[in-house]
Amino acid sequence: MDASLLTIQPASPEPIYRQIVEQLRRLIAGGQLAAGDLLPSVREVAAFHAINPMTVSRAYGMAESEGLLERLRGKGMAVAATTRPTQTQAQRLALLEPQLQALARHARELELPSDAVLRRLGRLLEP
Amino acid sequence: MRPRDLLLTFWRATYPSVRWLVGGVFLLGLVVAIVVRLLWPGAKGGHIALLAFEAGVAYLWAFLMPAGLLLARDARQLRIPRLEVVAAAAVGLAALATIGIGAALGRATLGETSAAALTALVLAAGFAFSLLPGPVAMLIGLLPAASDAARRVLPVPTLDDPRSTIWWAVAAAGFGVICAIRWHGLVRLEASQAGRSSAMVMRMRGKNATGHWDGSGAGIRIVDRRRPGWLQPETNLRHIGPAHPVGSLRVALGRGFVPQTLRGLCRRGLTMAGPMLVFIVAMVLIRATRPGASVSWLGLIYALGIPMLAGLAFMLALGLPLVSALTVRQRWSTSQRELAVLGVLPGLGTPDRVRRALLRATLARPVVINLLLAVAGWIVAQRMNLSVIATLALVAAPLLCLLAGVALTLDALGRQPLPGWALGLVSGALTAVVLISTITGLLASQLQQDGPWAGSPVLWSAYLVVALALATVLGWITASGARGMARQPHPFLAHG
Amino acid sequence: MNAQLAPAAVDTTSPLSVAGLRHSYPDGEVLRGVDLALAPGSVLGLIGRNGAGKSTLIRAMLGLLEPAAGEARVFGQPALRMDDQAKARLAYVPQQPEALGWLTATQLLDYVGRFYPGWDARFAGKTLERWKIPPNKLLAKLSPGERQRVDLIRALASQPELLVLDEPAAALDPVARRELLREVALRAGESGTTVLFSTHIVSDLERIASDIAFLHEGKLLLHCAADDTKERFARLWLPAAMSAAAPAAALSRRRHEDGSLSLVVERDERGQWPEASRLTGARVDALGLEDLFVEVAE
Repeated sequence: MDASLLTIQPASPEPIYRQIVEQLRRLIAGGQLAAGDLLPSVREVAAFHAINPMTVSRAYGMAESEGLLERLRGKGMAVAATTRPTQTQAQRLALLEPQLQALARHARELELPSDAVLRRLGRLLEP
Repeated sequence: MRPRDLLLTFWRATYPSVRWLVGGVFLLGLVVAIVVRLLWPGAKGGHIALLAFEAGVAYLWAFLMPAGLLLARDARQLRIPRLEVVAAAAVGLAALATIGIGAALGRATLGETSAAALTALVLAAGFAFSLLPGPVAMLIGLLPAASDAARRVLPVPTLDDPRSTIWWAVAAAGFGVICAIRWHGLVRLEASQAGRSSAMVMRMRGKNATGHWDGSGAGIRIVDRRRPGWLQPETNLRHIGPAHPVGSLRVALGRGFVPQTLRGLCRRGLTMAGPMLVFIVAMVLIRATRPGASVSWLGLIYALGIPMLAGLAFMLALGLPLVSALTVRQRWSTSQRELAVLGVLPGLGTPDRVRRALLRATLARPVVINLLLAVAGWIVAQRMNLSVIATLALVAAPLLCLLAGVALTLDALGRQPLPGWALGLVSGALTAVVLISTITGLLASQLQQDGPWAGSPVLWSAYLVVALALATVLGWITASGARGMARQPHPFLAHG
Repeated sequence: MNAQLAPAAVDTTSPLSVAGLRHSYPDGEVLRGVDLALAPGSVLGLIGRNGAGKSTLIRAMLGLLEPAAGEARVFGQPALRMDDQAKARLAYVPQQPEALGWLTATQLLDYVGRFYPGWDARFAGKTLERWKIPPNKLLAKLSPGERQRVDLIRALASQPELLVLDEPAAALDPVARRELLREVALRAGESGTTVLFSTHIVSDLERIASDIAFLHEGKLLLHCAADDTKERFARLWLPAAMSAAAPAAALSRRRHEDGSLSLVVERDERGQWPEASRLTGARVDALGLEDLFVEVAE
């Protein structure tokens, strides 16, 4: 994987380390990153995006503790081999949580009845 | 716009220090003219009164009125409507007013028409001085001497000759045309080229008329951007580093403190000697064109050389301590520049070592040169058998300069430097005392006798009292500066 | 981590710290009691409006001015009495470097380099070339951006343990600015360099700062980890009818024309927003640093 695969938006209210973890999660869930793929080193990511290496370390550490990444001796970080099976439906759904919450809030603010929103959402989800 | 507002344009467009200085000189010229006219009847007194006034006019037009041009330039650059015309109108009105005052003064001297023509000539020449490139402008300064010389060859009339009015009017018109052409060009000069323009008015921007710093630092230029590369100073970095704290500090202090390479020294010598050579050549020509007078070359060298040496000694003795103290004062006025580098630079050693090195770097040359000058003055006085008073003047002047250099440098390095006006007062008094001393010494050596005032014990006692008082004040400044400097934890703390 | 900072004693393990710093100029007080300590290896972004006292604070921290009250320490030594060893570990780039204009870039680096035991002449030469700075032109003739870059090279080539940059990016174009941030970030991450830099351009901070300090009207309003800042603080908006329920502890409070209220609030120990945020009609908005800065400094 290349450091350019990540996009960093420093001005976003979301801290940079969370942006990195979130993107790793998506890339792995979406299959762009396969188990065993090596990640760019902390230095490469930090240098490419001109961000603090400690932020990158923190993101990698967090992803490691979540089981997304594993540390390979002498090679650096790689996508964990166990990632695929553990990506349960519940975990994948959890990735949608922020968007769902925002949707719920907007719906309340617009005073829309929940069944109308759900009907519309259901239609969007139909293949 | 009313005429009053137009005339005030210049007043508003200049730094306060410039406007008070130039306005003061102009008023001084006017007052001197009136006083002289009142006290000294007859043609001679009238001439002197008029000349005093014209000197003020020249100064006013060379240093205050160019503000009108800068205003017109800014107006054009910033696309401000009407202001450019207002600036030009203000210059015109000011010219009419000046000529008017000259004519009024002329009533009591040469006659209105003549005085008006002379005033017009002087103001046009003064204004041209500010608009022309530096080297050409300098030639204007030589014009009075040149016209004196030309009198021997051409039918140039003397001051009270009625024909001179025509001469002056023609010359004034010529300068007026030059001014108009230069004004037209300079107002339209692109901002990017303005920095490289050699016109005096452009060179004096941001500085005030006397070339001093304007206080904000905005106009300060250590490196003259207009000078070609081969005339720039060349720093010698051979003796710097932790082992050479004095040399290192001299590099950081800038200006005359920076050690120069041999090539750099030659260049500097050339830039200083150049104008002097022009002057010498001009003087030689003036003497040579004087028919009848047999020019003895030895006598010429003697007559020119001794005053020139005396002038050089005067400039060295007085200028070196004052300029170096002012440079230090300027460096210590802000912590943003060199002090920010020096304050955190390792390897200079303990605060005490730094203080000693700093004193050597700033004071060594003014002190040594003035000691040498004092010795030279004493030797000259002994060889020429000058009176005690003349000897004293020749020896005391450099010693006073030495003391002033030490006092003002320590003051600048100390905790609370003198306010600007006090500094001006002290350096003004010093300049006066040293000038009187030099002239006395010079006259004594040239005439082999004391000056006309040397015989008056009252004047001499007054001189001695002033010199002693000055020495006392300088001593006090030295002590308080040294105390302030010793009390600081390290010497690189800016004032304020 | 607490927004309400209690006056603390000077931290002697910190590379750079101040306690109880006060200073005034003839036209008013600039610093009104500042306490600040940098953790080793951290990158502290000092943010504040123009005239907030950032430069004065930095100069006082480095012993370049004598504060009216308070103490500043560099590597545990009093800043006003640093010895050469401490100075050799420190590099400072002032705002708009204008010093030593009579030297060329090469001469300046040669001059300064002789004083630092760890001077990296190769880095200096290489970076001068990479940043396309005319090496033999007098500094006074360089553009402000070029001049700032020369000074940054000077600072970085001394391989400092503590790097202090006052508005380093002010005169730099976006590309040069990014390069500077990269250099600073890598130094901090790899060599453990502690960095203090002041700016009013918040996006520079967000990339590389590990900690943020807000200086406002001579006081430190906030000092905490950069990531925490985004997670701990938010804007709470209350409609006019509910403005009485506003929490007392808020970093800033602004009443709008319609009577509604905007507050900057902080999460409590359990990570919860204040009670009022759960009222219907209340809204909590996440804040980027820039918004937070504007809310707090206005």
